[in-house]
Amino acid sequence: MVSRRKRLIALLLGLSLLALLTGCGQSQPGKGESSQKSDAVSLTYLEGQIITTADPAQHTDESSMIAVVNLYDPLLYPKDQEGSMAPGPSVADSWTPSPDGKTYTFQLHQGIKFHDATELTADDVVFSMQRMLALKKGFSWLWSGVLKPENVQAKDRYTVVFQLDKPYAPFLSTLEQLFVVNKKLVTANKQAGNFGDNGDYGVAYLERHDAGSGPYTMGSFSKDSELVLNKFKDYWRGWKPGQVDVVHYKVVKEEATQKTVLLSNQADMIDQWHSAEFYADLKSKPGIAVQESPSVQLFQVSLNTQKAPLDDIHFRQAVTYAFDYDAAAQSIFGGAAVAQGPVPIKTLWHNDAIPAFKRDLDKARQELAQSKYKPGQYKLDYLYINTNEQERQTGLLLQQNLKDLGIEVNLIGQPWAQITQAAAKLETTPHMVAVFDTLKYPHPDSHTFGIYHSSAKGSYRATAWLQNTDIDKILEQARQATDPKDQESLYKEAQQKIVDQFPNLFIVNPTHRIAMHDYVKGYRYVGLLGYDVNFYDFSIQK
Amino acid sequence: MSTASRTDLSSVRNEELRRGWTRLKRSPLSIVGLVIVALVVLAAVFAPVLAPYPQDAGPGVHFDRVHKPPSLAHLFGTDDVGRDIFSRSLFGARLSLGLGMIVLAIGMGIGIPLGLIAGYWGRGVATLIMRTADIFLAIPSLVLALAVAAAFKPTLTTTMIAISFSWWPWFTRLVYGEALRIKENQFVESSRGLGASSWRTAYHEILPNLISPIIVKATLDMGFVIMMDASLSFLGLGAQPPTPAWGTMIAEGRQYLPTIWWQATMPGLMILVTVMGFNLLGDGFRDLLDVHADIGEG
Amino acid sequence: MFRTFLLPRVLQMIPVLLGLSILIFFLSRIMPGDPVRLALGPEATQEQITQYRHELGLDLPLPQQYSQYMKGLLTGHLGHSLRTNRDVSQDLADSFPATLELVLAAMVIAVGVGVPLGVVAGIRKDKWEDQLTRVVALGGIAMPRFWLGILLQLLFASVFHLLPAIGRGDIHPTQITGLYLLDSLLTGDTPAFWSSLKSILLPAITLSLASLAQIMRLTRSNMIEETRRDYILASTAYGVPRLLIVAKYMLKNAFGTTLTTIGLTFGYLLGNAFLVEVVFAWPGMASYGVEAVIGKDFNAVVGVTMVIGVTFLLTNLLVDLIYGWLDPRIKYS
Repeated sequence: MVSRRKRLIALLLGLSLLALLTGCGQSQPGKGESSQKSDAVSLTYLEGQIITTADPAQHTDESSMIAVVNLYDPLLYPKDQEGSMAPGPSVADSWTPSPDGKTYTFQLHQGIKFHDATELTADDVVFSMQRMLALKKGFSWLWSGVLKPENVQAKDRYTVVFQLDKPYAPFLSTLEQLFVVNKKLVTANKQAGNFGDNGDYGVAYLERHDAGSGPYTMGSFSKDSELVLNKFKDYWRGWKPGQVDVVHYKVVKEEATQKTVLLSNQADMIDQWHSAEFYADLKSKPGIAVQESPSVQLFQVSLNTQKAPLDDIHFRQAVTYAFDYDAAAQSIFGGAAVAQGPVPIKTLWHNDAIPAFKRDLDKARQELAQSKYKPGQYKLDYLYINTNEQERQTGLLLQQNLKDLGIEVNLIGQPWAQITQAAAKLETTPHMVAVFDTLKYPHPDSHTFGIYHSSAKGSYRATAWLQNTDIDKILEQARQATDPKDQESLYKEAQQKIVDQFPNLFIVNPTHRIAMHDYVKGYRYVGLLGYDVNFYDFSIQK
Repeated sequence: MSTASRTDLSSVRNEELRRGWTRLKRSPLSIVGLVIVALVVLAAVFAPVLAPYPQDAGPGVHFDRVHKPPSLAHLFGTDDVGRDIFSRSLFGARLSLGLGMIVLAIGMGIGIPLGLIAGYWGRGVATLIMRTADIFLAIPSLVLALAVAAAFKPTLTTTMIAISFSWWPWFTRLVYGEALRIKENQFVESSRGLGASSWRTAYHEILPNLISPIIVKATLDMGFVIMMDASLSFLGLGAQPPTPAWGTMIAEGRQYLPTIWWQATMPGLMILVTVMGFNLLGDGFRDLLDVHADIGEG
Repeated sequence: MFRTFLLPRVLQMIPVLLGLSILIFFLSRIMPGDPVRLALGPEATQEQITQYRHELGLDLPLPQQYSQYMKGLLTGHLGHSLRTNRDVSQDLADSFPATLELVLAAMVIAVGVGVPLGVVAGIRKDKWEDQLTRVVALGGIAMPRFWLGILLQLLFASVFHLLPAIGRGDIHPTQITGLYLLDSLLTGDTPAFWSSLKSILLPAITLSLASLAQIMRLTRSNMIEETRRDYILASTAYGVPRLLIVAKYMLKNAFGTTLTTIGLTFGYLLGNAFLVEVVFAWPGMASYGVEAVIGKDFNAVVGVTMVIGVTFLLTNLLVDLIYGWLDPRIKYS
């Protein structure tokens, strides 16, 4: 009996001690707050998704692209200072294409230092491209069909030659995705792997380290929570006062939390892609700046051209004319440009002759009357990412609009992984899929060849399953044309041909918005995934 | 002897019930719980009549009245596509209660028989059943629910099945524990002595004694099921739009906090009040029926 | 005791864990979703996808994949995570301590507040103290957790600027156990301790409330039951001071039953902490697991489930042991 009581008392005592400890903390907030703060300019940026990788041969999404842009230098950089995405000099100072459009020769900038102080040379560029092609990850698909690894060569210390299998119109713009890694460092840290002499090509090493020449070096990196970036003092483009010394690139998945953290001054800037209303709310807060620019994004809803009843072009037209584009642009996207065809309006070689669609119920009814299907015959499934508010709202609007024609729409919200799988096969692709398309390289090819050419099928971008040999042929010709004039007219022709097939509801080119405290200066919208969040451009002016 | 003891028991039971009712009346909180639950049930049943904008529960958007604050026209305000939140909340009650009842029905349908079998029949069967229950308990209920919800089309039915899958072991555990306890009691021994079959014993002797703890647990669990649905909705795996469900409504409205506070708060309050109601009522039942079993965490 | 109680219990865990691994392994693989495509990006070519699937051994039949997985498990490898692009065991080593710390802190709050409240409510049954504690505690059960978390954040971080809204604190102690509070105490790092403590308060409170109410409710009903026992009635009649009775006899007996619930709650919180983790950007295993399920990152799903399963079983075992230790009348059989 006695021992039982003692044991109980011991246990309770232990527990109450712990409770007391917690209690103490509550009574003394603020202590330890003023930890050593140096003069370093720091910036905290909140990211909504996990930073999957910082390896420049493996990045595909925005968060990893931001990591890569800050740690590495690309062969060519968008001419963002001139407000353009077109390729400009970076690691390469100048370049000359051959008349047949198959050979490109690049002169490299001399004196670029990697973070370990070795100089960046032609060998590193060759190694980077070969590594990309060997790994077959990330953006390797941009070159896999047109460039063989052995056809990338260093002519001398500062000259690189790319010998393409065939002319490839968007080639220069794709080089904005070729980031240069330090061959010496990567080779020194390779582990056993599937790539012969190259071992694992440094894949394991680059998971936790960087081998770049970019403005920042990798501090601590925890994929699910934070990447710390430290200023690289010897960066070849130099530093000015006010630029950011330390970046805390943090992952905060919850939108409501991001807002709270920004407003409570625990972050300086948050990522893009929130809804128009989210920004409208932030705009009204003192000290918060919301930057707005017309974007080169396209929000569209694909119409599965091989699934009844959408396999009938009249039915597709009926749906196209029933949708209220202006309501979507105004009420869902908070004032955006209604799209004009498959290529975003602000992109190079956009076909301005293509008009924006408007809701026209009479026309929709006429088309429906010509269709071989009756409105009530099928229920249409609309698949969207279940966490995206704008896609959901668009679905609700579509549901209401099509009700006027007597067509029922079924909303299905699913996570990303399921959508990419559903899109992989024709049988599993639903009638309609909501798709946000961002440019991956600044060229109309991205939104034409990348979506409507037969080779694109299986990707969620190509959920219209358009099968059209005519369009295929024009796009192939466009890619292989050597004269830019010909390229332009072919890409424009392709856009018109695509619109004529009604494969998608081309809804809006949304207004791009991003929110930060008003003392953060230097943000520039670039349009090319991730390039706008190069922290080198930013400065803090309090 | 057996018949005599049973009549005795039933008269004792009536007496207990009467005393319980007096106890219940003395506890105002239990009455509050009863009233809340009754109101929610009424709201669910008469939602089409009570809702000022019943069409807002179906497809449709009203961009002309987006995010109107609570007023007489819209008691709970309007949401991001201009629908009346009060109307949707009433319809949401249907869904939450329906969901809760189905999950519990499936959970009990699997859990109670298994618990009885385990509790009454031999050690081998019991070990098998209880270890299986352990496996299901060891998988975090949300992971299990998510896996099932993800494995099929994310409809309401799937959500329900998913939640039931993680629910039955709690009933098995409860019934198993109680059955073991009761089995030791004399009256079971006596009826067995009279040659009653095992099934008869289980059905006539053990089950009636299990009714009280099951009622208490079921009432308390209604609250948990509603919360679970809210959690799934938060991850985008709840009811599909435009179906009004409380959890989904909070999830959709949370990004507008704190400025548009009503879109997330009103359905949140509905959950708060309803779950509280079921908990108070459950506690009331516990006092009323004098249940002392460890109901466990659901 | 070892041979009659502990050994059989531990042995019984083996089939349970094996069953668990089979169930979750197959469940995670038949779930729809294509993580390979997801990892390679929307524009990946079919050739890329085929090659990567082959590299990962995903083109093998499922039973073979399972046996390979189990082989890997024996050498401490939990497979490649397609979402984080590294071995799941590394991910878990990073994220498990964070969740463990959060859950422990929540348990401390739940027990530290729930038991006293339950005692008060129990001995003052149907009085105003009882009603008040019950309403407040039930408010904790009834509030959707993520909603509560967001509200607390708005209040303490945004309005009053008292506590950080996200993360585990700015100052990290030297890593020993990975539990920042413990590590900073062990190393005597006061700034790190306060920083960690301030960061854990909001998420721990948010996480604790439902269990707090559960524990309070159970303690209350146990206390009520104790009140009716003969020995209490007798002691009261003999004029033993009420406080002494409560402290000496009733609490002790009531605590035993509460302990079982505490054990169950621990396992429950471990798996269900994710909403709190997401809202507070707490880099823990629960949110890692949910992201894995949503992204169909199957190896990660299996890994997380196994860790939670083992912890759940061990906690239950531990609770039974403590239970017996407190009450020697219980025979381990």
